[in-house]
Amino acid sequence: MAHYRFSTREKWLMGFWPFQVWRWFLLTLQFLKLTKLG
Amino acid sequence: MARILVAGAGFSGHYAALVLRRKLRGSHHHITVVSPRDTFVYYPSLIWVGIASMKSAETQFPLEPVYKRKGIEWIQGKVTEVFPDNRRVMVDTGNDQLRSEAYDYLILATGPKLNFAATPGLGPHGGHTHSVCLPEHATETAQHYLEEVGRMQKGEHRTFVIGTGHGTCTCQGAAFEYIMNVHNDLKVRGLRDKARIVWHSNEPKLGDFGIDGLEVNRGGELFTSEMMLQALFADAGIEYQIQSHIHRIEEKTIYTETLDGQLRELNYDFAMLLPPFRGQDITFRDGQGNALPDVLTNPAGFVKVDANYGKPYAELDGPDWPKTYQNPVYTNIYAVGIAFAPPGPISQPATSPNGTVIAPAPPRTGYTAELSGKAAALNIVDQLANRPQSHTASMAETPGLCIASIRDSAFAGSAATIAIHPVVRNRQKYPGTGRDLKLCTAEVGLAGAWIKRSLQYSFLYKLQGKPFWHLIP
Repeated sequence: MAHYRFSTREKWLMGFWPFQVWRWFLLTLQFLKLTKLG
Repeated sequence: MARILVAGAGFSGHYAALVLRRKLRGSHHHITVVSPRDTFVYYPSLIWVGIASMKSAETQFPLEPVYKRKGIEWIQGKVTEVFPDNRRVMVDTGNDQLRSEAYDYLILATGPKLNFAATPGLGPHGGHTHSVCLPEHATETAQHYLEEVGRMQKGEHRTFVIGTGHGTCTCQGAAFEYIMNVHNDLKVRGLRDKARIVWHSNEPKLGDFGIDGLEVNRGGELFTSEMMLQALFADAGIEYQIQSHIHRIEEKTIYTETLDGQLRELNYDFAMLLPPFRGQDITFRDGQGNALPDVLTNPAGFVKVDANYGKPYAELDGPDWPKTYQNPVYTNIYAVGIAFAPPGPISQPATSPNGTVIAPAPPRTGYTAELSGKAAALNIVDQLANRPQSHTASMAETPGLCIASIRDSAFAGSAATIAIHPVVRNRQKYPGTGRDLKLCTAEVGLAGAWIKRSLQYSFLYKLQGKPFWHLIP
């Protein structure tokens, strides 16, 4: 199996502030949702 | 008035004590915590202590003021013997002083014994390798790491081996965080080209983490933790040897055996290898003082609870995992966090042609440990009120939340954010993968670094019992 590599676009998004602020918001919401199942 | 004794003040024990105090406020029930350390340690941040980017003190707070404020008795010591028929424990308070403590309900949250002795040459006590399992270990590891940095600054090339130190280790996630932070720290120092970094692990595949890996649905395509680690290690230039056990470690050489039975040698200058875990050395005795060998613990010393033990891996499923964490024989004893005996591994166990077992043990994150402690505490509250126990926290029904740090920085940081539900695959409930893919996440980015830091602050705030602590999940 060929090893997976992150694309240039993926790597750029990993450090792109506006996108990461949006991901932080969504991930925090998901964590809160999951803790309700705990 | 009931006497509730909590042995251990880690994530599960300390949280159980706080929950008990809150639920039993205004009552005369007496809560006692016995712990060998006088501080609470936020273990997930010790990886940063191990590269000297955080002080050990930042990961801890003193327990006594918290317990004083909450009206919880605290004894500094170690539970060495339990007499379940007499409802009594013996506590070693140091200098061979033994103290007898009575209880009506007992929560064993004693965590793991770091079993460095399982591999000759492993560990900082008489061995050749380093550890980030305890604050003292992480501080010492940082000193040795900085010495290596100094050598590289003088132009020397060094080899770092990081991962697991035995075929039955767990907590691969912590070692993964450490290796990524070492890689990035050396990169920031401009020394990465002088270091060969090798990941050594007992996992059956990259990204297994002892939880059989994870899959997420990304735009209709399956993205796995294995793919995530392949990409991260390829970008970082980290070599790896997985499905591997370590037989012994000498000053510059690690003697390994891989699953196909090959014996290989790994040369190293600096190694941070995690030890396997055992249950703490606690002897359980009957009313006459005779040892109770199999009633309360499994051969590794972990305490049996309400799980289905004895099933082979292929037949194990979600419902076999413990729910209430209550011992089936002594119903006033609970075991939580890492102290309870799991019914089996979560990852596929294997044996090499030479008979060497390579089987990651089940890990437990701080959140998972807290959930088990909370379930035990609330079930004791139920028992005190003569209600049937109604609280469960099976790892096959609760989510796992893990932020694996890659680099700690507010502006240039990164972390792998991993969320799974449930932790243990539950094929009865979720046919197919055994998990609810709609609730699973695996992604790398700066947002994860922010969440990792905020989790440290929120856990430390909550566990110090500060105002509205109970509202923090």
